[in-house]
Amino acid sequence: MSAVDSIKHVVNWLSEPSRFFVITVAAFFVALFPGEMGPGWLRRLTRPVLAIYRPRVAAAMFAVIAVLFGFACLDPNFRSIVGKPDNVPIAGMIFLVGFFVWFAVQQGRRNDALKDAGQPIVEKRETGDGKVLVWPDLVYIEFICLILWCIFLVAWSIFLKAPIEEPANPSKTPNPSKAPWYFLGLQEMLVYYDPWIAGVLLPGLIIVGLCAIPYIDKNPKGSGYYTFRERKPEIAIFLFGFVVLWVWLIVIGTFFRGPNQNFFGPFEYWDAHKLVPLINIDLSQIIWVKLFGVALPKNPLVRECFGLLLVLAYFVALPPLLAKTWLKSYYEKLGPARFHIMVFLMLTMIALPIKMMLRWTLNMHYLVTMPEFFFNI
Amino acid sequence: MPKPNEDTLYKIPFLNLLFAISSIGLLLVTIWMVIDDYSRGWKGYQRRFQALEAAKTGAALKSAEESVNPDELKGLREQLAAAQAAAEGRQADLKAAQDKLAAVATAAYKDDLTYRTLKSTYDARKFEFEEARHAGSSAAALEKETRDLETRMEEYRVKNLEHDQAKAQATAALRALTAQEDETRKKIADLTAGIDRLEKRLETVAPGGAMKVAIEMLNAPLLDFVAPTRRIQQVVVEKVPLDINFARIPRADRCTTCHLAADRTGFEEDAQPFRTHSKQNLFVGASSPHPIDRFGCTPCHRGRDRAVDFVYATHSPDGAEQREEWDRTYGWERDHYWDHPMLPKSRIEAGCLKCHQGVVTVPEAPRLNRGLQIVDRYGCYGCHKMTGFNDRPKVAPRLTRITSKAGTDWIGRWIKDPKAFRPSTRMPRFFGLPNNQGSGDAEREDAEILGIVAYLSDKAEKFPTPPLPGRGDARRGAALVATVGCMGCHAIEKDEAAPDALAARAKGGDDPVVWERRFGPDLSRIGSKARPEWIFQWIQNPKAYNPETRMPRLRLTTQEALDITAYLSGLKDDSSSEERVAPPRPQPQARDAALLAFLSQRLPPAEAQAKLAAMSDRERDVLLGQRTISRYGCFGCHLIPGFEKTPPIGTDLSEEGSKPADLLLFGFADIEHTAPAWFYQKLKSPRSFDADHDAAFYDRLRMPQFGFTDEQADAVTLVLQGLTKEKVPLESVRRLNAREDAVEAGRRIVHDYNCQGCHILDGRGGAIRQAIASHLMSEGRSEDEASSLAPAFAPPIIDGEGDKVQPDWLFGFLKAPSPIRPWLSVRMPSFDFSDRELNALVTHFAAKDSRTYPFQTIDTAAPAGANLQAAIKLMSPDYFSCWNCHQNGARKPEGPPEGWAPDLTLARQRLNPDWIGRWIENPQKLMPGAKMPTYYDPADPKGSAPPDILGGDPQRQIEVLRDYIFTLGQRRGGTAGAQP
Repeated sequence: MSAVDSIKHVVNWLSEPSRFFVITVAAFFVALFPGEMGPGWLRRLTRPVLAIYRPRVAAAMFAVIAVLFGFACLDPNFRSIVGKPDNVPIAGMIFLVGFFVWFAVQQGRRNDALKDAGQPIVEKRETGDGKVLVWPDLVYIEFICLILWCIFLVAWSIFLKAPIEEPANPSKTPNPSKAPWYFLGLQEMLVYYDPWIAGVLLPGLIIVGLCAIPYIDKNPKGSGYYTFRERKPEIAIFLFGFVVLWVWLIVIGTFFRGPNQNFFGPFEYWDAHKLVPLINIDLSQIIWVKLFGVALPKNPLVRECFGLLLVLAYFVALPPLLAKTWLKSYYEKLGPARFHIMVFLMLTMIALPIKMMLRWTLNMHYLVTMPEFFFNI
Repeated sequence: MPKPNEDTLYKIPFLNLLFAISSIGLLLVTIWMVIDDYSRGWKGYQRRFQALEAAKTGAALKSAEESVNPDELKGLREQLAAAQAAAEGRQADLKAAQDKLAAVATAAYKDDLTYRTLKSTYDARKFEFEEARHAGSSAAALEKETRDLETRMEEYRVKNLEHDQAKAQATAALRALTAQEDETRKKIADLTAGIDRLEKRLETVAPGGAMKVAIEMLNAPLLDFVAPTRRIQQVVVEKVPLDINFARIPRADRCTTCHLAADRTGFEEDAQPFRTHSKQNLFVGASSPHPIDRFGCTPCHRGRDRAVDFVYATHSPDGAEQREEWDRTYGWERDHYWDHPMLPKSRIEAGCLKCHQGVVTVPEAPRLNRGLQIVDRYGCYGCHKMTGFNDRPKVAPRLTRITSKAGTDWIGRWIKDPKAFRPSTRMPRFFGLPNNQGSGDAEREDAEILGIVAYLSDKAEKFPTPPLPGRGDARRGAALVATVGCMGCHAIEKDEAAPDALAARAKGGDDPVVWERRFGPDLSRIGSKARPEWIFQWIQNPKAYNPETRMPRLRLTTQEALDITAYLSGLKDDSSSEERVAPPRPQPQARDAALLAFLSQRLPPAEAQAKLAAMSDRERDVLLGQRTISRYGCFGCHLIPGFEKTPPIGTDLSEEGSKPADLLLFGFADIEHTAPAWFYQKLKSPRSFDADHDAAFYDRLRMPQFGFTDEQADAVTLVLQGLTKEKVPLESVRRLNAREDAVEAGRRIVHDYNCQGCHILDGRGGAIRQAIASHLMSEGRSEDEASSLAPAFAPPIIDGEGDKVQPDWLFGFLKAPSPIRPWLSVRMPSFDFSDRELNALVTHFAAKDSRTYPFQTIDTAAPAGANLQAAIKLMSPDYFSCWNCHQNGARKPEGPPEGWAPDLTLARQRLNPDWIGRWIENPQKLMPGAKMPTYYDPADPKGSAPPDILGGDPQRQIEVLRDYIFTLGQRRGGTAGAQP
């Protein structure tokens, strides 16, 4: 096996979802808070990462990633997936989201540094009174962007034809069957939760939660200028939801989910015949059958009591506990109503990665399953 | 725009620059977009076609001009000039005549206008008057007005009539003055009519001047959305809809956007896409059975109807070479998004089958017919359900009495590898194939074979085969087999075919024996297979042993049967049979292991063990045999006791042609992932998809190896491609009328009983001639002599039989044949047809020749006096010498046997009188190559008729001959069909 093949092999191995997810989350927090989190050794270890907020380092990093990406395209399997006309914008999205997240955090950090040095922040320096003219500073630039964007879209549409696929055929559905790219996150959730949760409840809560942000967020800072230090938790929570639980899931759904909805590494051939052992098991079965060695109780409430207790504890017992311990300062700052809404939304958000990890590591099917009432969690 | 403040955040000149650059960029991509649209492939093709058409029209114009005789044209032009000059002298008269005509015409126009005005006013008044009268109000004034108008109208009507007359007179006067000039002009126009037409055509195809500019404007980039002359052409096909799974939609075939000459003649030699359709008489043409406006293109060709791009239209290359060429030229790749890609040129016949169903042969589709023939002969439908083959009988003999026919050791070796015993057999090979080559597989297969043998002998019923009643002479038997008719369906290839041809066939080459003679098995080694007692019984009455057999009786006498038996049982293989295939040996361990595997599928191992232990050796063999027969589906072709009602084991193939390649298991087979490639591979090497799979023996592929040649596999692939799920509306399907239905029903029987093995029918068959020729050669004739003599000793050509014979005679003859040509050794066999089959056959022949069936008038009057004398004279050796060839009752003909012809005394019962007349008149017309001499020259019957009889009138001569022939044998004759 050549060196290149070994690297591909390692990348494929790392792309196994639980590993890839842990790596992604770790990378997310390290990149956002280098040298600021965890015990002292971890802080020392991650401090050098701070260098990525220097534009030259970041530019070099982007260049290296782009070159690696180009090299990866020499692999036929990688190329066939990334080069698919449908997937090209998602590949572009990785770079765009990466750049803009970096850019926003970098702007905030630069202002923070200016403040520390007792100098006026960038926005102040550029505008003085914090105001700019609509014409030309806003509308002219928007107009130029509009033109450039038109150029790009026209050229793109000439290069990559919109693919016309076959007429829908109930006896021969596309494999994999995928949602439009912007719904791939939702589709990924459907793997772990019942449709009523993944398709109705969670999307509804996303919208409600986004609407609720201005009412929950009492931090007045950071309005009209970039800052990172003054809004760390807000930025971290939002970016976790957006980058990890939305964009990352879209990327997973696009590039890693292959035929039969199986996971494939980026350098793996999408073999429709690949078989993956998939025997999922419910929490009640784990406890009653595997642990206690008895048959499942007939009464669904008895049968599912552990799962129900767990879910109740998560949503009912955990918030007051948090209010007294880890999030005490927030409880005091926000008051009980705001605090409980915020914690509920956060717990709901975190429930997704929890269930994902349970599925990937323990083949957990449902925590609570009551098909009698069409109720599964 | 307000002047930007100095305090702007961004530098305005820089933004201006950016704006300028991006605007230019937008302009450039817009131009690029227009160019991209303008250079779409089909527009280029239309431009090229326009040039091609202009060049063709120009060339045609040139040759038309050259074909006009210049002297003639010059002469006419001179005449015209002379006439014009002559008219000069009568200028005054001409002027006067023209003025006269003009004056009359003016007056006529004026009065006609007045008349029409009056008429419309009159109509309106009349309406008012009628309304008023009906309402009961005073209508007197209106009535008066109406009547006045009526009077004036009449006045003008008369005037108009007078004008018409005057005009006619004036015109005639003018014509008289210019007559000569007009005539010359017309002659010139006639002479140059072709040129004028082509000039007009050229004007349309390649306009010049302002028209050209205008058309180029219409087709100019960016303007071409308004009313371009280059546009997408399409044929909307409503009646053969496109099935898009949830709905059926009309096809919009846009093929003619590029294939601009498909429906036009004159482009036969041009390169694609501008070639005329190669079968204009069959397809596309307005008067063909498949006109383009009804059937379009994709119903037959398949492909994506709405596409106008080479690749998206799913053109399919014919072979690797074309594929590479297309890849270079068009960047071709398979479009996976279309389930029905275009059929490559060599596979186009697959498109016929969806409409042409329920027929034995599809007209003008030779390769498809070949495939259908193979499916029919090899009995694919025994295991696979296939549209069009639903009620077909099993292809192989029943095995209910097999042990009376063959020995068990032979059966074992036969099952193991049928082709080792008989290379031409259609029985496929099930054992020793590539997916059963693992350790222990050979032993298990031996056990399975012996199991089948055990099962068959266990279940077989006894068929009595008493000892032979005497001794036969093998030499006489050989002569009988060669001449009596066996060789219409059978071959003895080791005697007939050259060894190198046989060797080539063994390697997948063509069969040296004609297809019809493969109907029955090759008899080369029959003595090693069948017991003599059985052969003796069988050849005398095959249906006694196997009621479903199609083998007929040849009405052999006991001695003949004994002779043939002696000969056939002597046809043994000289080489040791061990050399060809090792006989299966008992493998108790492998057998028990296989049985245990079967039993353990349903039972816990302990119980399975116990069940096995309780069985005797014989019982185990029989059980494994039963499981093996059931797994391999032997009952698809054979009638096997205990499996009479078992459904077939194969995949339903009725819609196989619509199956997407994704639904086929390619395994690790290294072939193209398309359905036709898979079919072909499956036919050539059915178990190859198991390669590298790790499957238990009962889960492995089971389709046997038929040993198809490339050509056969290709033809069957064509049939499979044709069996689609498309539902074609009845109005577009070829529907047979009652006559055609009758023809088809009979044709089915003709095929089922292999009539063409002996007879030539529908232009094919007569396979027995091959055997007759080789028999003649064995008697010492040269090859040329033998092949030219063979037809004389062969059964007759029966094209036109319905026209020739009386239906009730034919019915009787087919039911119980009696010799018509007693000098021939070959016999019409007794098929023991059912009445249904007999009627179908007689109707078939009658329908084919548009004769009435079943009843018809036979109306001839016996000739008397001078007519009788004339007939007898004509038949005498002085004239036509009929008895030289024709048999006359018991009297043999006088000439040599090669020239003998049927007994004329049978004509009365047998032939249609009008046919006799037409036959005497011109035998070659009814049966090209007939031996009967042509007495009347078709070009000059009157001149070639004997002048001294009946005044030399050929029609009367023929009539008396016919009437006379109808009186022959009158006293002797019995009723048709009554003889056994």
